[in-house]
Amino acid sequence: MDLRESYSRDIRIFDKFYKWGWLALLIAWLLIYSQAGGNYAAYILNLIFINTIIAVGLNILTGYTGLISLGHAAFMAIGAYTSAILTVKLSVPFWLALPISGAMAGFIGFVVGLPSLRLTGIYLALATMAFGFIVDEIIIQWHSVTGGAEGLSALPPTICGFTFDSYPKYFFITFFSLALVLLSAKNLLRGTFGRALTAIRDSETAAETMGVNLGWYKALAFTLSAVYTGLAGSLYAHLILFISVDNFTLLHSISFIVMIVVGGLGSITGSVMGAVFITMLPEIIAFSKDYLPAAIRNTAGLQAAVYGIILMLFVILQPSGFYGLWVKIRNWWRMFPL
Amino acid sequence: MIVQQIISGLALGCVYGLIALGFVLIFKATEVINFAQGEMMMIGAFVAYTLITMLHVPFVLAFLLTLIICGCLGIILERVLIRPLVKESVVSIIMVTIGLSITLRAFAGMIWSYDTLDFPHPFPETPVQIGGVVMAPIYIWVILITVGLVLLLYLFFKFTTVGISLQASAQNPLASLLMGISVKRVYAMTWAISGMVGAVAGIIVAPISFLNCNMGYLGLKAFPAAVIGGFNSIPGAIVGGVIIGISENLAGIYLPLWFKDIFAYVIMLLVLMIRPEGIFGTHEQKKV
Amino acid sequence: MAFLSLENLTISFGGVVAVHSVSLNVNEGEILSIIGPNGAGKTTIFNCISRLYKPDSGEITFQNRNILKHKAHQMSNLGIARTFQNIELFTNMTVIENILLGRHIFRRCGLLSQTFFYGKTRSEEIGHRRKAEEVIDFLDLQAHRNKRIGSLPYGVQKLVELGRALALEPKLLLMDEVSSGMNLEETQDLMIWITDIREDLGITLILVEHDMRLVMGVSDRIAVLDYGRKIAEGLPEEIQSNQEVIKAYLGDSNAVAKG
Repeated sequence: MDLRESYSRDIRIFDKFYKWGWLALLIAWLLIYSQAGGNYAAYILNLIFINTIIAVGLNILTGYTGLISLGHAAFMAIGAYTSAILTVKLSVPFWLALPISGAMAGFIGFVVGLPSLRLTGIYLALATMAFGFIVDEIIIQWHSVTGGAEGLSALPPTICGFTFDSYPKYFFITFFSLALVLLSAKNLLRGTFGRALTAIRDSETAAETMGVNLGWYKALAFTLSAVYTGLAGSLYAHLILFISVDNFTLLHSISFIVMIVVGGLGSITGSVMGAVFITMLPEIIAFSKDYLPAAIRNTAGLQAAVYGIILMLFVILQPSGFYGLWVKIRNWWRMFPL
Repeated sequence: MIVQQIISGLALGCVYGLIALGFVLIFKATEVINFAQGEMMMIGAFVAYTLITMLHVPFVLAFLLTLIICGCLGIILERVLIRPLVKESVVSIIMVTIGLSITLRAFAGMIWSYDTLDFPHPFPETPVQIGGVVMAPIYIWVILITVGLVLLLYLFFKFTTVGISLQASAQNPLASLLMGISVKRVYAMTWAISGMVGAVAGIIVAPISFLNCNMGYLGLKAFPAAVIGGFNSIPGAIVGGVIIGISENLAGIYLPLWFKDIFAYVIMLLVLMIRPEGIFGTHEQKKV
Repeated sequence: MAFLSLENLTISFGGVVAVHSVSLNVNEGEILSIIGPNGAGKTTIFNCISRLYKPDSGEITFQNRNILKHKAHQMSNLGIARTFQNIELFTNMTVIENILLGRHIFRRCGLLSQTFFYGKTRSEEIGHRRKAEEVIDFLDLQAHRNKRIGSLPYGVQKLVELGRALALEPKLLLMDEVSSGMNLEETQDLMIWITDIREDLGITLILVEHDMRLVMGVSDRIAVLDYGRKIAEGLPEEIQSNQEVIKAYLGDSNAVAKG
């Protein structure tokens, strides 16, 4: 059984060729919908793309390598502030500020990551949480550079004289960035590097015996994850045009975790699913408010409660997330006796 | 001034220590961390508040009732959320308890509102003077209650059958299983005790701090306490809490004011980098 | 100079001496078995050689290199591979992915080139996969190729671990109780593979084994440990008639009787 046609078949991005067709259809729909679906729809699409980049980044760390981070909002903040400060205060063009933001977040991720990677499980979770608090405090106190607690304005990006000053226009930037992120993540994860990360997650002892330098690879996973999250931060700053520490709290870090748990740990498709779901969740809640009993309909805690309950339900009942559910349904469909 | 800061730091440190104790009890027994321990504390405070101000239950009785309610809550949470994940990774359990903390906070907000409530002062409020230092009696009470509770726990683990079996099971689950100790019961007991300790922390912190559905964030400060003391050491939790409480207050005097808020986390990061097992903790090598 | 030599190797855990001043030489191309009752320190020796444990004292030299100066993840680069007593596979990965991990030390492309996954990276990956397929064919694992480890029976998992170690193209292979959990037929296959590994692939083997038939059938030499000390070393026939060994095994006399 399982005769191979060629080795390259095993390493394709999609195992079946027709899936490229579905992707083309999806892209076509996204293009039309973002340009013709109105300002708000385009805004949501932008947000989904940015969240997807974060989810992919965090999934590399948590889903693939098995390391938890409660401080990813801080990397997003580093990316966002770097980009805003570079473009507004130093007049650096956006196309340059974007990669610098990613590099900055990655650099700090590496510096912070290297010593803390001896830590596992809860200790790493606590260290990254502390890192998040400290970064927030630095942003508040470093008033002259970051604008302190009042926040900081960013500008719509201009590339080659064209200003992306509306959500439908900005769509092209987030879309292009997301495409690059997805492609690079997929490439890194389907080869030697990705296998080494997954090996660390499944058995550190065996990975080490196979020649995987644990500290170095964990640091790389941390750095890569921070780079993606920093890029997302930059994109976010130029989308909402005003940033403050309130955009990058512990709760944000937790919501990123909810994204990858709900979507599916250790899966790029899952990251996309989770980001779509969590970005749409406020909309879903707003929509379903009319059907909820009056007692809880308008309380401020409703959204938080839904987040919390969803997180618990998925971890306990559907740990492989939406992606796992999708795989299950697909297999069931294939086995269907008809 | 400094003596007062040290004593109030000591009192606050006791509260951190009690919350940290909640983490440590669970971690020792099950290698699980409960991110919702701060929220257990908040629930304890709110339950006591409801009993005292709305149902007019006398303080001591309300205190005991709160302990029972929070103990039961602990058992229920363990049964519903943690037991299904017994074989799962640490990451899953961290996530579930994070989900729990968000949910508890949200529900508390729905039930008791988002306003800051006034917790009835159970102790006399006239300042007392000890050795030339004037201070509120509540601080002394907090310290006394903490010492009493730790003593009680010590006696419990040392001399009662249940306590001894809990310890045995934490040290060697397999052996104690062979001795006929039910691991499931031990886990449930641990969560119950941890819930009660959380409730005590809530009742004593509400009068000095504030009563609000966000008071669980205080629990985040207890992580540094547990890390410094060592995540598997009961005395370590209290010592770590006191270190954080006092040094935080002193940092407030000698360092820029803003530094006070993150001081605990800076210390925690340093400890994690230098000696992750903390002051009293022990490090175990994985067997292959 | 011996291929691998242990000199006065000693390691203790919390006051209990697990391995006590053991010296042992392994020659290139031979199959050496280490036997002994449970808790004799056999696996501990493997853990010292693969640098998972740090010995309290003693020397380990491999091809004239002091390997105590190297880290655990560098052992595979030196040419030492191993399997584990209690299976340490990557449970959420497929069989082929597990075996591909054995190719980790042969990676040549940096992260940047992997990001583009084109040209060199692509052909390198295809090369790794070809090699992994050879291992799969060698161990008859074709039927399990794309299955996840978690879904495989114990005996097959042991084979996958062996395959993963072989993909490293090691010079020295440490096999820790590979036959445990295998039925009679699988064990017989294993005996053939062990000789093939030595004859065809030219790999030196150290076996920790309980199955005496296997040990007596394939070993060139045997070393016997008891309570962390080496009590005998020699040809299979010598070991079978060694009084000291028989005494050590007295409580476990069935094991000798089986062989």
